[in-house]
Amino acid sequence: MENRIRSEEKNKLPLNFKYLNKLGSKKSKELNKKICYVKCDKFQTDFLTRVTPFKAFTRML
Amino acid sequence: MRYFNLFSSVLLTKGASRILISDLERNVSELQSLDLYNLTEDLKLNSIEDVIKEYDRDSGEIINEYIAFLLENEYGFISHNNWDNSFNQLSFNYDSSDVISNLFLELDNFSVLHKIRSAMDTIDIRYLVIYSIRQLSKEELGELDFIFENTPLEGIEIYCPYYDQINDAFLSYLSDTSKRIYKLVLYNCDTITFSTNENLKFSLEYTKDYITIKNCGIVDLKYFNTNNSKIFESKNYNSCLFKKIGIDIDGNIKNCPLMPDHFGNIRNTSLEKVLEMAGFKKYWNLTKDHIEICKDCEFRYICTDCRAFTEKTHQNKEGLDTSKPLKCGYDPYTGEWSEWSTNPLKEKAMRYYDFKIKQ
Amino acid sequence: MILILSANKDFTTNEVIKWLHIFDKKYIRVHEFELFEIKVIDKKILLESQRNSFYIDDINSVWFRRGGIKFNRLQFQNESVNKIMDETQFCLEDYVIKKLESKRHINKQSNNRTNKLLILEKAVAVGLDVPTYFLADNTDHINLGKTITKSISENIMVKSAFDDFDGILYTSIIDKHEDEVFFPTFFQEKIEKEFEIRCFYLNGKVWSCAIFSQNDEQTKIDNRIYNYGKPNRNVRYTLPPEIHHKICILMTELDYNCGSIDFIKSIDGKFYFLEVNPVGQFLGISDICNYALEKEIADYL
Ligand code: SF4
Ligand code: SF4
Repeated sequence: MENRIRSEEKNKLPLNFKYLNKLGSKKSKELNKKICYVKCDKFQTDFLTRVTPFKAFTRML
Repeated sequence: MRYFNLFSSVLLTKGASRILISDLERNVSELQSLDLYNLTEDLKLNSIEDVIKEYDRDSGEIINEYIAFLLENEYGFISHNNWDNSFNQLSFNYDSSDVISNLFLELDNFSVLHKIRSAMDTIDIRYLVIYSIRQLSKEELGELDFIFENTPLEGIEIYCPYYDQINDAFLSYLSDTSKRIYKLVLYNCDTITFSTNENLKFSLEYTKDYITIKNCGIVDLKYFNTNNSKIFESKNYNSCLFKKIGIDIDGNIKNCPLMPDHFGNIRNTSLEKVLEMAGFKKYWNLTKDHIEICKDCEFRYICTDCRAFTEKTHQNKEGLDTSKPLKCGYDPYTGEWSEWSTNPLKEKAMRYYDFKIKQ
Repeated sequence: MILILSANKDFTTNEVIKWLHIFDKKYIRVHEFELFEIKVIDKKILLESQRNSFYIDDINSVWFRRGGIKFNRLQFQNESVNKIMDETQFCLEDYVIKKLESKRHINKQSNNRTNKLLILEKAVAVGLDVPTYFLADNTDHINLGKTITKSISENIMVKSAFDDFDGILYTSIIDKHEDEVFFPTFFQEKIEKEFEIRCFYLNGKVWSCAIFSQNDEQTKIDNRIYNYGKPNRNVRYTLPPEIHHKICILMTELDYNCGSIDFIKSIDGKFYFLEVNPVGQFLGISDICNYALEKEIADYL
């Protein structure tokens, strides 16, 4: 897909704009939707990332 | 002369009858033969040409195939004249900035949750695992995240009995309002009143079975995921009990709610005090390398341990139970899986834990 | 007290902060939109925003992670008063920034803009190998397939460049000639690489990671194009001492005490310097190589 930037701008752009890549993919967009942040005063942020644990803490199933 | 170099993110774990190759960058593991392991050991000491020379002509072929396999999977690369020593070994240290990684709670009364919330002013708990013996009302489920608002608690997972008001509307409400819930498991779920919705912010599982907390400790391939944190942890610490704290249905504080030793009750002591008590962390440093049978198993660094239910056959000098987990049906000496609960050798331990013996 | 100038959403800052708690170190975290007022109490300078208030004397170390400290600059009616007050306020602000920078610090606010062209010149001056580069507005002297182009700006994201995607200016190989003249563009000789090296530098220490991407067509030119199916191999690596030494000289000359540095190891065995980024991401290599860099930073502060 041709990017729309070069046709929109009337000034000349550096050549690397012609080689513009798409950022991310469908998959990364999907993943982004699932990212949750929690507010945490202790760490002085409203955006503590909820990271899914790297293992199952219990194995009941 | 050509030399074979194994990438440092590829870990070979030798078992009694096979090896497991764990790829810490691609997060997968695969089983291979001991022959392949022996070959990689040889290739650490000799050039490829010399190794091939050592074997007879027929095996030379096989060796080339093995090397091709290692290269194809990008487990290693070839260098010329010598091994490439500019690449360094990976460190297997496990350094994590959490104080308590997970609290495993057997829940009945919500007042315990408020106790835990106030403990969090002084100790950080990263994840909370709730096993509820009773149905949780919609209000209660909705309230969970709210109780831990503004704390460093990152995630909550819940196991609770299903009932028919847990439907799509409620689940998407819960997903929208609860940031911390990352997993919800509904048990005792015969007919379902919800669709398995992809858009929920948590993973949703359900089962017809009636799950009791005593189900815990299952050893199964489905839990053998591979990643570097898991492997670093299990090489240095107990893969289940390190940085774990448990509270049973009566409020007793333990390393895991299914273990016998308790260290006071949430009603009259603090989690902080318990953490300092002698013996509370006694299993934290017990790795699979020191557990009988497991120490000969190729899965030992991706298998999560259980100390609450074991075969009760071994004890070390410090009095720690170093027997194999009871609920493992794997025999590393034969490389075969069987149903653990029908294994006659386990009957004694099963009686001890009061498990039904299947005929 | 540690002062962290960062963004509310910065994941790296959160990870470092978790370690600060383990080390029992006190810190103040400043977000990107916070505006400070400079006050004086008992002859001591106090900085105050909606979220924070602290004496600069109480700060022992500063981490300029993102942005930096920003001030609420007052406007005045009378034009010449405004001019004088603008200068007055600038003096105070500059003084505060310089005071903060004189403490133990990671990077500097007054120096957080990189200029890729100047950095390349300095790199050549300290004796590092740099692939031949030049600026041009046409492709007349370009060796097709053997020349790359990349952005000289630090920001390479282009919002809504495509219908449903943003764009990003990665390094690309020039594969055809252009008839028209374009805006001055950065070109550089393409090096046949054995692998790339991503380094993290902190106060004279260097942690390196070799990134093998040659095995994979998709990531051959720019390893930032992440391949979900088959990621590259990343391996702990040690640079030769003379390269390490030159990095230290370069960073000192640039007055950076922390940053990410990229190299290419060419198939003929040379180490080619590509670029330095003082605010680069380092958690990736920290995680893959198990370097625990977030802990190193917390320890240093
Ligand atoms: S020790 Fe056993 S029962 Fe306890 S949490 Fe671990 S696996 Fe479950
Ligand atoms: S519990 Fe079973 S699968 Fe796990 S390490 Fe021990 S023997 Fe192997």
